[in-house]
Amino acid sequence: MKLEYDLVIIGGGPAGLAVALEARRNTVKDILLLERDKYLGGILPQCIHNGFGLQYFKEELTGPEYAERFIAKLNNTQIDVKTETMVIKITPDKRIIAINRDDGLLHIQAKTVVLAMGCRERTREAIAIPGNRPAGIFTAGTAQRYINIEGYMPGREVVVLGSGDIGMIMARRMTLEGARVKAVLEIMPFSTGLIRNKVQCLDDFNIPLKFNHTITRIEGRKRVERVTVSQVDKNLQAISETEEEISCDTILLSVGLIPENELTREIGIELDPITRGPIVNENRETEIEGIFTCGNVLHVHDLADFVSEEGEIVGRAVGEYLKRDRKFRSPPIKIVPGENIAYIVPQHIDFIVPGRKKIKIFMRVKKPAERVRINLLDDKGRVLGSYRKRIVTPGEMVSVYLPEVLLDDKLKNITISIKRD
Amino acid sequence: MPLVSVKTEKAIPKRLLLKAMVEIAEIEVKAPVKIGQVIKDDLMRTGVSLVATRNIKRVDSNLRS
Repeated sequence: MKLEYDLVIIGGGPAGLAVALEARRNTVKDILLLERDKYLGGILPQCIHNGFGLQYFKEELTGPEYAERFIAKLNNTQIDVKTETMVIKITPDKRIIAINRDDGLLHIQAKTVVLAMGCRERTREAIAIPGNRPAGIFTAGTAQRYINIEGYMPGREVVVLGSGDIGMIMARRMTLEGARVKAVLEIMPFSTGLIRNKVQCLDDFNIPLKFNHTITRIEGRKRVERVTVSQVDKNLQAISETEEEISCDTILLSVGLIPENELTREIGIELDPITRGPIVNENRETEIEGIFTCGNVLHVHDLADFVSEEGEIVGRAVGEYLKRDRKFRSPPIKIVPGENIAYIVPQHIDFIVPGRKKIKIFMRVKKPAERVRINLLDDKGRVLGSYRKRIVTPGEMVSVYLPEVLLDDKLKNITISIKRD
Repeated sequence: MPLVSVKTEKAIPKRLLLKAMVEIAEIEVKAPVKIGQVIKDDLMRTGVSLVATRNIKRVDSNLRS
């Protein structure tokens, strides 16, 4: 089956949904949304807890309700949607090969493509921990799917590795379903999750959170029976004298998310080694004109609300691209991470946009710090602009506005760095 | 097992949460279900309703999928 579309979106989660609606609002006509799962919404339908939409809708919604706001609007448009459809290849000239049970093999020619595949969970920590390979070890997101979508209880006596948001939320979820969560272990001296989650998921349920701790051994014949837990030193090495055993039948891993960029790599698009997502300009466009990306596949976000905003940037940009309504800067301006900055998105500014006053730049810091200055420096190290922030931490993405007036014609680099005030 | 996610319309006292979970575990509803539909009135006698947070279509199980 051969098809042609102005815009094909890979992924029907919050990013893809926002792109579809915004592109439609920007007069893009033939839009196809491809989703590999049975339903739209991405990860949101299994995130049955509160806290979504506070920024975007100014309301507090659960994940499925937030997703439905977009899905309902989608049903009133003529956007084509194919679920249970897996994209197996995308070529640099925007040909997409996909497969599903009803259509068989699909060959789609797109004028523009948006990569919105989201991310998956890291599992290598399980592989790296010595011991047996018993059943009962899950990533937190998998356990969430089992409980909230499939209706299965993964276990009864739980240890959680990682104090990211997913780990903390699942510690509470398991407890609410009658499990006993014995500890949440965090290898760093701080949590990468939201403070709100530490309070509402752990403190409120008397679940101990141990910083500077990790699992050093897993034991159990067919099923997990116990873990050995140790404190770690400044170099994250286990201190053997601090070893303790915790009996359990389930381990949940919440140790990081990896953007799913297999398709992206196959196209040949260069990825940023820190974000593990494509390198993009302010329209979230990759190095291939007309291939855009947004959401967790570009960089892992803290809130679905920000993913939706990023999707809107792309939806508008797709409209502009198709109308050939763009003016390029020559040369582009590179945005360079300086001191204590882990990464910055977008990595470069490509366009001259009459009437644009400022560009929002997003970044994550390497180490937490208080009372800092975020400095924007030009090629010669001169300070172009400076912002104060009370607290910065890796778990909360920081954004600053880059004023258009600073974007001199001859400017090639802007370095952003963080220093104590 | 087909599930529908739910929430209480408002916060209920923390001390009632685990007992409320037992009460909720015993509830069955028939599809279709609409977001906002009341699943149970007056949960744990708090006066707060339990509502659905997802739309669930009715599927005729006699049809081949």
